[in-house]
Amino acid sequence: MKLFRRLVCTPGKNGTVDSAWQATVGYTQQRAQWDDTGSQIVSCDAAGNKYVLDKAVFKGTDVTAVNAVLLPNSTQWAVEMTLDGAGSQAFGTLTTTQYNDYYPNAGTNEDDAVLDQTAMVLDGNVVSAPQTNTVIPSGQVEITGPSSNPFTQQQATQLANQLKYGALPLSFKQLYATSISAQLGRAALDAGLISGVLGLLLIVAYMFAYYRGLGLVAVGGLVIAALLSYLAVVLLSDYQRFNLELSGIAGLVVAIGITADSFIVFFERLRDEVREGERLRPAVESGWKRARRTILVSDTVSFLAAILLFHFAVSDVQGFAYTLGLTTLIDVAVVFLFTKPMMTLLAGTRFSVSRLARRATSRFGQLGGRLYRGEFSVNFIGRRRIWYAASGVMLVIGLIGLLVRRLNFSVEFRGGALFQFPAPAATSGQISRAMNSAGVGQSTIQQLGLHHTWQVQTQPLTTAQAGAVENALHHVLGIPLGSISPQLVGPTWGGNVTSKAAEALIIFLIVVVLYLSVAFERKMAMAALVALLHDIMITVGVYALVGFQVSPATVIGLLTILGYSLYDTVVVFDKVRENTAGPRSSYGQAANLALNQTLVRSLNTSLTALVPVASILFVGSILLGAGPLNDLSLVLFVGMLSGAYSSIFIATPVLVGMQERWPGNRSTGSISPRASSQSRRSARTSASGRSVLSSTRMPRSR
Amino acid sequence: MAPADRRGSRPWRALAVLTVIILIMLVAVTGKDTFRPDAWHRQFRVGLGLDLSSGTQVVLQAQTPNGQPPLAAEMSQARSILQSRVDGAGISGDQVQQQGTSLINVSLPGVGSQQAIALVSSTAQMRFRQVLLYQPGHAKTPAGSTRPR
Repeated sequence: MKLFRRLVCTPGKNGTVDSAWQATVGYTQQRAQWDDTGSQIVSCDAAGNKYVLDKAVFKGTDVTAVNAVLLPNSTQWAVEMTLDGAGSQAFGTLTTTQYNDYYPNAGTNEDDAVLDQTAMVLDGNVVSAPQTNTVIPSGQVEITGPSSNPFTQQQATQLANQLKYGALPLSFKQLYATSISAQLGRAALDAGLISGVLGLLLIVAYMFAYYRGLGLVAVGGLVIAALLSYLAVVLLSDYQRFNLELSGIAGLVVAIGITADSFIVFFERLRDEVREGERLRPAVESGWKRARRTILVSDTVSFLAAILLFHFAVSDVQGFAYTLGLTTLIDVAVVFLFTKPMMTLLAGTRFSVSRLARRATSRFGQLGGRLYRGEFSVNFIGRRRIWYAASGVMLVIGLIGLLVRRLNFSVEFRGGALFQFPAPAATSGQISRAMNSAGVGQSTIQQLGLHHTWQVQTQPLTTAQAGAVENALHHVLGIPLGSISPQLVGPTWGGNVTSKAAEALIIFLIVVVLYLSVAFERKMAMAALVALLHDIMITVGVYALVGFQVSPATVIGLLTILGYSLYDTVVVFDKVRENTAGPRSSYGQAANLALNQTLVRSLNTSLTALVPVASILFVGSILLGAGPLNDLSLVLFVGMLSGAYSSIFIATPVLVGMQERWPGNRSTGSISPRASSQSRRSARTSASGRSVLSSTRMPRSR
Repeated sequence: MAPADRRGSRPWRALAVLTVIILIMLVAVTGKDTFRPDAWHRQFRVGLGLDLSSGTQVVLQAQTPNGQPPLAAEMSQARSILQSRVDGAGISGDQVQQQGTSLINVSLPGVGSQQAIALVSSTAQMRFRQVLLYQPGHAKTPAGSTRPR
């Protein structure tokens, strides 16, 4: 009675019960209080009515069937419920008392009207409390709405669903639970922002150092891209309830490299045109026409990768894919709406002319120029056996490492519990004692990062055991409960991640081969595929050899490498196709020239992609010590290095090899290369694959 | 080569388009506070995920007695029950999402692990009880009691 007087019920939103009532009577999260089947309880319903209820008569599991039905010869809906033996018996006894003792006077006596009702209580809240108007011994129950206000179809269906849930054979197992304390979240946010700013600053510095005056355009573009990304993220979190996660920040930082690369593609093209002897103004226009295609193709590849990642990734990395896709679109917008028009405008002023002229005569620029004209050249194609052998040796070592040492899988794959908490004064001995007192024997204790954070890893724990560990840490070491971040992983969780990643990998490879076959030609698609597989295998091998930890973030990073590796390859292939379209030299020669011509750009691309990733890795390992951010950036770093190598040393040589073995139809693509029959014939004749170190200047098609 | 006047007019047009896009985004972000710069800081907030703020994420896997995958209807029903339970506990910014055929992912910002697991991992239980006392919600609350916020 006391509780009933204290009880305050407020109507809930959208037909749900406002659970605030539990606090008004001192009920807590403990189920034993509000779901004690053996005693009386108080409760509320969605309309804010309040109740005192007797002991439970029967349970939801006694309900065998529930259906919403339209009553015959009426527009009124009702719910039909069937009870099992025990339920029927208990309900029969109850309804007999209710019908005989209370129903006759229910119209006049308020108390009897109340006692004639049976409440259906779902998780402590009253769903419905219909009146009994007959004895129901059979277990066949029909629930109708009040005669003044009969059930609609929707109401009946909703009630039926609620009743069904108690009888539903669907139970849930907790597969994975992770909790982030406010301190840990704050530290992660700081690390993400710092690495983003650091990456951006390094790229800006590099742009100025390499492009001097033109760097201003690149930096302006980066700033605009950053502004657009920021506004887009704010808008999405306003209108789409998008939440920026750590992986999302990683995506934004990686995107700095992609944005910077679009400038590099354009500027290098422009420089090529100037080297060809074109005057600056027309050079901007003709360089743009060529660069535009490359930028669009490479952005398409990385957008495809983002979409597939988003579709297949588990929630953790969806944020990464989301921001990566978003920034790819922004990159296209910035290149078309800012970089190109700015260059056109600048080309009309004297300022940039002098800058460009100076750059062209600087030492690195000269090297680029000589590489471009073919005066100086590295014989990538001719020495391809050496590169193949080098890669082969690395792959074999990696394979041996994989067989002997195996991969070091993280707790997400093995299953287990992980606790992170800040404790500057604690020692590992104290923590170990705390773990023992919680009854958890074997545990790995580690200190992480700058914030004196400790990480304790144990075998899989139940929720109750994890609670015991938290309490022990609290009592023994005085750590506030709110600052412990536990992570409980069932052993099947990692399998979920991996199988999705494998699906994504296969679909990605198919989509990419199809896309490249259409955008380029089938042999280029196959060569790119070989380079991709090479990168994946090298990365896996490095992980096995070094013993880096493999977490779900690593698997996702591996998928991202695919996009990047392709991106780099696509740019080289674009040039190969352009050169081989010319009539004079062999395919091998033309491809080798293309490699040399794009060498400076390839190096720049690799550098601008690696710098932001390295800054995440660096800042992350100093500030956080471990976590998804580090796992992601480490695998990206290893894979991007391999990708940069393979696009030069593997992809193009493989392409030339295929072209020499099967010189047939090159124009399978929809955009057919302008290959003359003469060039095809010459490709066939130079089967040796030796490319010439000469000053042959490729005639270029306009 | 293209005539000079065409090249001259295009870049300005592209830059103007870019400016308009940025302005539209700014207006969309600031919304009704567009003309009150002092209130702008409220609009420029980025929603942060759990791993950058604080909170608990729980992934639940449905289990059926026969090991068959659960029906889509059962899953969406379970999801909506979980959603109403989480809403009822007064947690804002929560997300209850179905993943694949048998997983439900619950994100609870600002909630500690013990509370979250208690809230989410217990199965829903239906009880049938006789009503002993009843008071309609629209009646005045008893004297001396306080209303919740």
